[in-house]
Amino acid sequence: MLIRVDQSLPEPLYAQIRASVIAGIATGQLQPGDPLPSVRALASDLGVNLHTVNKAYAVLRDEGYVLMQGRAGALVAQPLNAADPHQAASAQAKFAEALYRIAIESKAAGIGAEQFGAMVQEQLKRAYAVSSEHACESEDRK
Amino acid sequence: MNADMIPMMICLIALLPCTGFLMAATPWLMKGRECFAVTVPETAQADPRLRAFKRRYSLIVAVFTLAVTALGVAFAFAEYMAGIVVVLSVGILLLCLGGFALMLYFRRKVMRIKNAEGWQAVAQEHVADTGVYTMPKVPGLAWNLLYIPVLLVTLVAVVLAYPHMPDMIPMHSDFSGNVNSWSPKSPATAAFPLWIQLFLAAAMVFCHWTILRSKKGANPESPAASLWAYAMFARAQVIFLLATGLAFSLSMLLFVATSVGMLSLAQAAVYIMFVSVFVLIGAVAISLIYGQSGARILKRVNPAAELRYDDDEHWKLGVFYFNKEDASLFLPERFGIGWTMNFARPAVWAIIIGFVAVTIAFVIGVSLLA
Repeated sequence: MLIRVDQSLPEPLYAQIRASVIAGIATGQLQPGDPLPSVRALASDLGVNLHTVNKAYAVLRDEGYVLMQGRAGALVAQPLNAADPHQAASAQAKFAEALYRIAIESKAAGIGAEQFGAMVQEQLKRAYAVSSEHACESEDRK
Repeated sequence: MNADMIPMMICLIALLPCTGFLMAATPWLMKGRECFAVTVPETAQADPRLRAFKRRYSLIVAVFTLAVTALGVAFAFAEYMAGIVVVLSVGILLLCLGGFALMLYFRRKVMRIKNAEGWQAVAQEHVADTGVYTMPKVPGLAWNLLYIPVLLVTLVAVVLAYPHMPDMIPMHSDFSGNVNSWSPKSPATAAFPLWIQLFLAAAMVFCHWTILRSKKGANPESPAASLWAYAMFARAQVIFLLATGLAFSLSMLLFVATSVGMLSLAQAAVYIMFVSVFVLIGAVAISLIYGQSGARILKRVNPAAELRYDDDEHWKLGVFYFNKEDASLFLPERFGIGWTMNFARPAVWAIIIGFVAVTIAFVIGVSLLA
């Protein structure tokens, strides 16, 4: 899986690394248990500071996407709902809250409920279609 | 011909032309997104002006190399030793400095064209690969354990040979075989080949480590292919490094043979010269086959018209990398085959000072023995 950062974008570099890893997990290019590069190697290849990668890994770890295992370094964690049901419920509540915030903002911006629903469907297709495509690819490889 | 001239002749007909022709080939061995240490779109390599610059650079360097080599060979036929020494030292110095100046001259020209054509990066993208296991594997540091059996064999040879060594051990001779320096026999002088092997192994492990630690420098325009090419290149360089180190290390056994008179120092040195020539030819061959960072093995891939990053501002005089924000200590060179350092990092200066200190200590230690 390729991790890409673009220093000309306003988005902070650590957030770009985080988004790259999350996209990799979502598309199945990163599987649970897969090792991530060491902080030093990733920082070197991306031409960024060690702190930037450390920060990205720390955020990913707090969010439960990545495990830090001593000398083995960073590993991709099990998906959230496969872990304990309590954690899954709290993750769902978190995403529901985030979705609500977007919905209320778009309502305030004058976007109708139907229009918003269509947008949700479209983005849903975008996120989940890519994921099944890559899942097929990784099946083929096996 | 006088036997004294053998090493000179080998330098003259191997080292000088190999260095010169490799330098002449350098513009053609670099990555497609670089031209005279300037970031350009890969499609710009087809620009007739850039092609003309590269041809002119190669021609000037090649003609100079030929002229200097011819002069040296002429002196050799005239058996004029001092002339050969001057040709070799001044020739190689001029080649390196002149090649650098010539590169800077064409770099300015390419920069002017770049500005005029508006070749600008549309992003500042860097790419890293998480799936290192899908790439060709670069041999790890554990391969350097191979030096241990070589050291042990040499140690056993030294111990076995010690009782047979004369009271004065020959340490240096001219190439006619007249020994001109001896040292009183002692375990430390007898172990001379071991000291050299240890230093050599340390230097080789260090080089190997820098390659493993280096930034890979993927092209954001073709990340997977360029990472693959880089891995192939790094792999070839590491294998070559190991083979070279082991060959030189094994050659040190010859010096044990010289200390008991089985072989003259001159014979051992001639053998090492031949090893050196093969190493030189190997280095040139790897450079020509792979190109810098594997650029030559990607030649057939469609060139990208777009530039997705440009870090020219961090390359002072085109080849000295200074970037405080980059965690890399080592990275691929910009004009030449191999690796360079990020001089904005204090750790790099600590490494340089440490390396120089160890080398000086070794040279002093060895000259105290000899």
